[in-house]
Amino acid sequence: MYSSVSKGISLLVYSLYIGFISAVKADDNTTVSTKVAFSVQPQQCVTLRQGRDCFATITVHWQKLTEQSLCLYQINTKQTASQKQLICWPKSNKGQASVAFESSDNLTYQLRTLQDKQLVAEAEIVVSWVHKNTTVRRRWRLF
Amino acid sequence: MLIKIFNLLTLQQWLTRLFVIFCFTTASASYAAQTNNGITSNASAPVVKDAFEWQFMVDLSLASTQIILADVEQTEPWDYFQLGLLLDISYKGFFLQSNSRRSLTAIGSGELGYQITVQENWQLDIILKAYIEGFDPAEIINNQKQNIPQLAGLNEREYTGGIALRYSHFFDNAIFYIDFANARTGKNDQKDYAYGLIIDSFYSHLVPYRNWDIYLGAGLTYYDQALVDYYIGIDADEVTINRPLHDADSGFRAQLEVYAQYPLSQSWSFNAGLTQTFYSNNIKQSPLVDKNKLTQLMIGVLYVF
Repeated sequence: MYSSVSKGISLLVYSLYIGFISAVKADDNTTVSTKVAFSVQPQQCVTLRQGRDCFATITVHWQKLTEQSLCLYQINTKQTASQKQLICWPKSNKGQASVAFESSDNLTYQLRTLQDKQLVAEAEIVVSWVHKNTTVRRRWRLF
Repeated sequence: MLIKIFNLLTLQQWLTRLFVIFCFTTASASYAAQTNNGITSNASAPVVKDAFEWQFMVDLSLASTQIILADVEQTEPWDYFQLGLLLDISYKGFFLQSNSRRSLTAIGSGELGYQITVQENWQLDIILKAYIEGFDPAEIINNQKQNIPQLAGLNEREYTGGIALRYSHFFDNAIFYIDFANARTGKNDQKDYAYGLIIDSFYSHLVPYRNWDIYLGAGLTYYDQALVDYYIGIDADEVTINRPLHDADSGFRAQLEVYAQYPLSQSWSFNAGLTQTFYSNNIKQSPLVDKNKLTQLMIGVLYVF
């Protein structure tokens, strides 16, 4: 029995370790070297037609081994000046937030330090669509 | 159940007619395009016709439907399932379009057409489509749990195809169109062709709400006397004790509908719709008809390739 438990704990520790490594690897452009687990869910927002605003509620979650003051930013990479600070967590080693997503473009969520705005982690929400935006103007009905 | 396969010979005749008309309209449209090249700054200059685009969709839905024929109901579980193969394709003003807001059939809802002129807010098309579905009384009786004496021994009614001039007007989030169709029924062994006018109009207003598309629609259709009589009239050779002789008059159909679509993924969307149809009261005078108000409800998923 102890063997099974220890195997389970080992697996869990290994998974957590891999998870942290992955999180750091995913953020190659991270300028702060401290390890942080940063997740944004869902990672995709689907709209019916290309070009339409997509609506979703995004859950942002982060966790660190050490305490730090961090802020969450929303960036539209297509609009260079579009950088919006959403929420800050002073002196904390974890944080969670629900963010209203409304955009027809992909948006990037970045975790930055409160004081010098150094990038800690980032993730992108991709906007996709069911129907391409065509020139065809349809006139449909049901029956 | 009532879905008819097209009579290929008849369809071929229609296609030939359409092709001849296309030849004339293409020539005149080309000329119009050339003459307008010099006035592109004019706000009323034509906008570009549809380029090559295509989309193929599969629709699977559950539908509770009614038809006007007396005592005919959905009886088996599979009567409620509908599978639609929907192809939309356009090229240089020609188009084949299915109705992705309906799940009845790929053929029954398809429209073949050509854009005669495309303006900023309006458009003129020539359309070839099936306007009225036919029905086979023997097949209906086979599928029903009870005998329907009004339909027993009745001649088959073929579908009605039509060639139409369609005017469409576009608003910000809405469209209105009206078809003036020269329609002709199919021919069966006992009945001759019936010809007549169909005027079919529809208004659809899109209300976007978050990721939902909600369409509110209303339509009014006029059917010529000869066409109505072909379907619900009773000829002398069809008269029985349950089915007296009947000459049907022309008729109207009014429709109100709500349709909603929601994206589930890049390929799948959820759709649901409710259509309320009102036919003119006089159709109930036919011994074949027992209702002129129909409620149709559908819920399903659409896969887009």
